[in-house]
Amino acid sequence: MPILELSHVDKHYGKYHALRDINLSIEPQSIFGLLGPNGAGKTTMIRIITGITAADSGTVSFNGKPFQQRHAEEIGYMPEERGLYKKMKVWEQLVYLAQLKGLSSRNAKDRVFAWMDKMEIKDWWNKKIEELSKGMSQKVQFISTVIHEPKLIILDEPFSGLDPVNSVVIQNEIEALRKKGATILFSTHRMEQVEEICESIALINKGSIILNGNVKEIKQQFKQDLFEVECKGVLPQLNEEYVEVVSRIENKTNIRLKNGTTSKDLLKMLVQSDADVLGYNEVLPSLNEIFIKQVTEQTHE
Amino acid sequence: MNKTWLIIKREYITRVRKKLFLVTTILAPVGIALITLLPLFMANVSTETVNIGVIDKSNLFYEKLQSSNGLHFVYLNEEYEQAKTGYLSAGLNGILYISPDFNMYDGIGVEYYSKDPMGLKAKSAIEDQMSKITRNLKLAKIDLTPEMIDQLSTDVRIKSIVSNERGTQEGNTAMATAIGTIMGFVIYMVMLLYGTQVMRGVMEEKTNRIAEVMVSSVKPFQLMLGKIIGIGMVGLTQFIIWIILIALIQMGVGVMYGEQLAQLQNIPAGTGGAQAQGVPEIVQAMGNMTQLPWGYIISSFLYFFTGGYLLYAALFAAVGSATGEEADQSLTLIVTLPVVISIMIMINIMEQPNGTLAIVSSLIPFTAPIIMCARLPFHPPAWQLILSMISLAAGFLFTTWLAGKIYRVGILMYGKKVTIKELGKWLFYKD
Repeated sequence: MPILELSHVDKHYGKYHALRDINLSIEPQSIFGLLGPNGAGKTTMIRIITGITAADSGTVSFNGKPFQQRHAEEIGYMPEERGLYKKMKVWEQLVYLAQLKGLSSRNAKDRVFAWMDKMEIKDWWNKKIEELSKGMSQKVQFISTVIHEPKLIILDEPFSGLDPVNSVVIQNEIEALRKKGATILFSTHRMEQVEEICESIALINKGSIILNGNVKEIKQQFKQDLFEVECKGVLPQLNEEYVEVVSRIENKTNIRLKNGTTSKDLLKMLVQSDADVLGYNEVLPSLNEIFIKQVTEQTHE
Repeated sequence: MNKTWLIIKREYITRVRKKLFLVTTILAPVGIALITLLPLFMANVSTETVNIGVIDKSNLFYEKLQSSNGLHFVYLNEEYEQAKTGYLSAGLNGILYISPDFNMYDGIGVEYYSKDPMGLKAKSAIEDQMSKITRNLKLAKIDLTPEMIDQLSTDVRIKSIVSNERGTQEGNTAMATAIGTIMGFVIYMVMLLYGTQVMRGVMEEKTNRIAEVMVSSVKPFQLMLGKIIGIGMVGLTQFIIWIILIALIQMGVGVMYGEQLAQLQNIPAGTGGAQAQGVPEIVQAMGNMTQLPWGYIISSFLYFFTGGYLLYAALFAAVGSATGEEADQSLTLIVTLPVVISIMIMINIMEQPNGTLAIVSSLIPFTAPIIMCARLPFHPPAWQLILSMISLAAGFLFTTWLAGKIYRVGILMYGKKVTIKELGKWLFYKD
């Protein structure tokens, strides 16, 4: 049973059609990427999932049940626009936010100090948020998102503004939380991270989902019969009736298959050509390429 | 635990813990006490006696100036010029010289010669005494005594009897006006001071971007309500502390300076005998104060205090949510205007506290808190009071609903300036 399921979700802001007939399903313990250019409707979608705003029509199910306000306690949400009470002390802030997620005061305190220890910000426990560095307040923000051990963690551009060291710290924590049973929903427009981390994605543009599924499957779906061949010296001329050389960088050559030629055929041709082949693999399009292609195609329609 | 309660608690504690709160809460009454007590302190501090040598060449004042209030008169038999050189060694602070051509009718011809300038209090005390002496001399010339003059002027006082469905009782217009005005102003201050605090709190949450984190845990309406109630409780705490402190200070003063206070009240402001009769009126007014139906006034006042605050705080919250880092002047003005108009109406209706303008404006929820409170000591008819209360309750339910609608959209809307037309549209967005 999916942890989160949206079906036929529609949302208007006045005359502006923010989301059109969104259907989406996220499996538990997966890492899901929500991609799309700015203004595509990602934030609106997240706000509907977190119960901040309601859809005009359609349903949102959490763990198989229609979404209710109490489910908010099982969701942890880190908005793109980070925010904390600047004048509050670190520990008070965290305890307060944890209590709002339904934790008892005592339980909240214990967890806050355990997390501060883990994230190495314990020395700053009694400092005001405004006295912290940006990286440290990002850590505080992250703790506040996961302190109540939510089943679903929604992170909007989690790595923006993080230095590489803190980025890795957060990334490791995310992975650890997933192993413990949490489902992670990423929202970002930075594709290389999604490729690294996410299993499934949904690509959203102008309020509609234009692509949805497993990352590997999507890449297969958009593959262009492109292969990279690495060989010693120069690759001999191949029959241009079956293949086409797309690019040549040093001793790596990108070859596209033509007219129903298969990978097996290409290998045979390479063997026959007496080339000294060092490497051979299929080139799958990056999500970035797919993304740009889809978005521009849709824009031109 | 209820989440609205958690929000109320945070709003309350973070504000009450601030140094500024402590300073204004404790220092304000102390400051007021200091200002009212300053004259008493001063009177006690300047007890040093001023010795004055009197050279009376007119022979009108001989042995008539009385030593009192830190003034000691010594009559000298020397010439003015002679005394000028020797007065200091004789232990005198100055010489009061009355020239031979002193004229009773224009009062010119008196000099005071000294090293240090004459104190204001001493100067007016001597002038008062000399005026009285000349007055009595003039009266004696036409065979009149001061007692006869006092009998001439009669102090007419009107006793106002108020008769309505609550029975017939003596009314005191001056006292009622004073109490009504004070209550109206207190409500005015509460609505503006704490209302703007709510607005600034909302703006802070919006610019800090914490609002979005908050509404992923609680409903926007809970967040707004928690803030309004939390700040309202801060205001209430402040008022209660003020009332207790002022009462304590007054008690302390009463014990320490009781006699002098009574004296101060008994000293007539001027020299004229007629003004001395003002004293019983004050005493009478004080007596009347205890006769006012305090239970009814205080409980109604608290109702309008709370209702008025809730009504305007909701509107201020909506304005705060609709604006960005800086308060939108025009939106703030729209909310502040009815409060200011109320005060202007209040000042106008004090002459006719049960007139048409008073009745109409105490039934409109936006003006009701100030106007009805100002009218409370004037025994408004019960139906007006009840209708005003109902209207206020309906009013704040309406503004809270309206504000909630604007607030939930406003706090998540960043960057752009909002027009009133857009605010109207927000009312119809679905949650």
